[in-house]
Amino acid sequence: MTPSLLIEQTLNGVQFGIMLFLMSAGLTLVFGIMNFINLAHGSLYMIGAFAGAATQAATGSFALAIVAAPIAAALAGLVLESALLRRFYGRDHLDQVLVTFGTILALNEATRILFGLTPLRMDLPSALAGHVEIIPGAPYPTFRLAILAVGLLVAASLYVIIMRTRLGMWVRAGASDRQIASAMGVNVPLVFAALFATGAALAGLAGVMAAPILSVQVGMGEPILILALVVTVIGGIGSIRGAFVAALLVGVVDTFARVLLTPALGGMAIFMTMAAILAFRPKGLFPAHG
Amino acid sequence: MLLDVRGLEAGYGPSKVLFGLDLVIAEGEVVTLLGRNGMGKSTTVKCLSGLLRPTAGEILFKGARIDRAPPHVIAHGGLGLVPEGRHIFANLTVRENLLMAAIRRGDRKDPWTFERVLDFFPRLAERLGNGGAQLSGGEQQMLAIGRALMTNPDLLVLDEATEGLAPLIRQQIWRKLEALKAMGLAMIVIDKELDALLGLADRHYVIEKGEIVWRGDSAALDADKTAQDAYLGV
Ligand SMILES: Nc1ncnc2c1ncn2[C@@H]1O[C@H](COP(=O)(O)OP(=O)(O)O)[C@@H](O)[C@H]1O
Ligand SMILES: [Mg+2]
Repeated sequence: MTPSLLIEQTLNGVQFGIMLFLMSAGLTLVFGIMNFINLAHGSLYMIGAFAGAATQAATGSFALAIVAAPIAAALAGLVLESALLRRFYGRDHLDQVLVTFGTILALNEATRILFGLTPLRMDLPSALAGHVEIIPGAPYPTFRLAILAVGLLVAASLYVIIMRTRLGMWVRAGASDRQIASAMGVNVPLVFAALFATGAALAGLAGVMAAPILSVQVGMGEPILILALVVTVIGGIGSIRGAFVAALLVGVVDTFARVLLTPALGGMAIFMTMAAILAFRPKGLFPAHG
Repeated sequence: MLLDVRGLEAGYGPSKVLFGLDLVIAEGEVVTLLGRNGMGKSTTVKCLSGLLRPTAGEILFKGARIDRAPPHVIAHGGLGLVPEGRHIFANLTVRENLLMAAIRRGDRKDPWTFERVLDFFPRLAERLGNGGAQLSGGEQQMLAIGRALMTNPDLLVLDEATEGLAPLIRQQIWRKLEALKAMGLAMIVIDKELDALLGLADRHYVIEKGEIVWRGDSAALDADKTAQDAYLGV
């Protein structure tokens, strides 16, 4: 592997990791705080991508599409949470898996009815469509660099909110012990609804950022959901720091494995990584629960 | 009355634990809940703090019904909890464990603040950056009490606050509770150490199989060896 390929693949891996982090952040906090498994999180990613593509098709504006996607996903998340998922917080995990799996099917079908089966595409504005020479002789797509920058910025803001504000303390206290947090005065249902909407918005943002690279189609949320679940488990359920580290790890490992190994083995690499990490740290890298 | 519990019944699914419990606490009063393990003391505490919904009965706190209220509303209403097993947030630092619980109330002359809690428990000031899980048992207990004080409660409920602590640390905790009593804070104290409780508390309730079977003041309990043997002996 040449140095420029190494750099390029590392950047690809980090950029993929950043996107996985946006996907996993909501998933891990929702799982950590409410002990709720939301398989429909991938559908919010899909909703973001479709909302972005549709907005661009209607207005011609890429910037509007980027703004519309997280808003649409957050609204969808809020409706989903308050109308349906909230009722399943006290239920066991099998019930939660069933209802959110049903939600995936319903949302996929609804999207099929609205948009049809032909994948939509999102076009990049000319400013983002080109390449940048990061080191001489190694051009790298501008849009991927932009994803990297936006993702890092969002991750940093999220980190500051979670680690440095009172709201963040409440979220972490809730992740550690929901009942005691509420007995200390934290309005856990309200914090949770806000958190769910934020997680949905981040999934929607990830979806619209992936849209110009992948194709926007029904079912696009499921493969990324599996990776996000892996990230959540490796990082330690409920830990935002764990999700960040694990997302970068999974992004880089997955990218390199696919370049270096046969396709079959490459696809398995992250699952083997997960098994190896769980063998030594059964609760993941940064467990939030004592 | 600060707290008025009438005919409280509660349990876990099909198994009933409390069978019509009555108790009252006046402002500034310190009251104990005594009784052997498994008699329903912690279950009562969970009902008071909103963590368990009673199946029957009423709980009035400062004149308002709280038996259907969610825990955070009860905490904002002025009931502070030091839960059994301490339950420090392990992923928060000592500073954060205190700050997360801060509730400001306009009506306090001398409210509990972060600084005041650290003055009250100087030990915690030395450990502010430590994670909750890195503390000793005694420090965790001080933190659990300090955290509850941050909510500026009118009634502090302490469930087994000296359990598993060395005698010297237990003494320190008892002295702190004496100090809180002297400040006029009403408390419900659940503990095994009868001698300390007799000194601290005004009145006592003995709970057996989910019912109050004995009630009276410290002098009466001290004199009533039969009750002590029947309800509290091992
Ligand atoms: N979460 C729970 N689920 C089911 N039963 C419980 C639970 N907590 C306590 N119990 C039962 O309720 C009874 C009273 O327990 P508890 O109120 O904790 O007693 P105490 O605090 O007086 O020792 C016991 O028989 C106990 O086994
Ligand atoms: Mg108990």
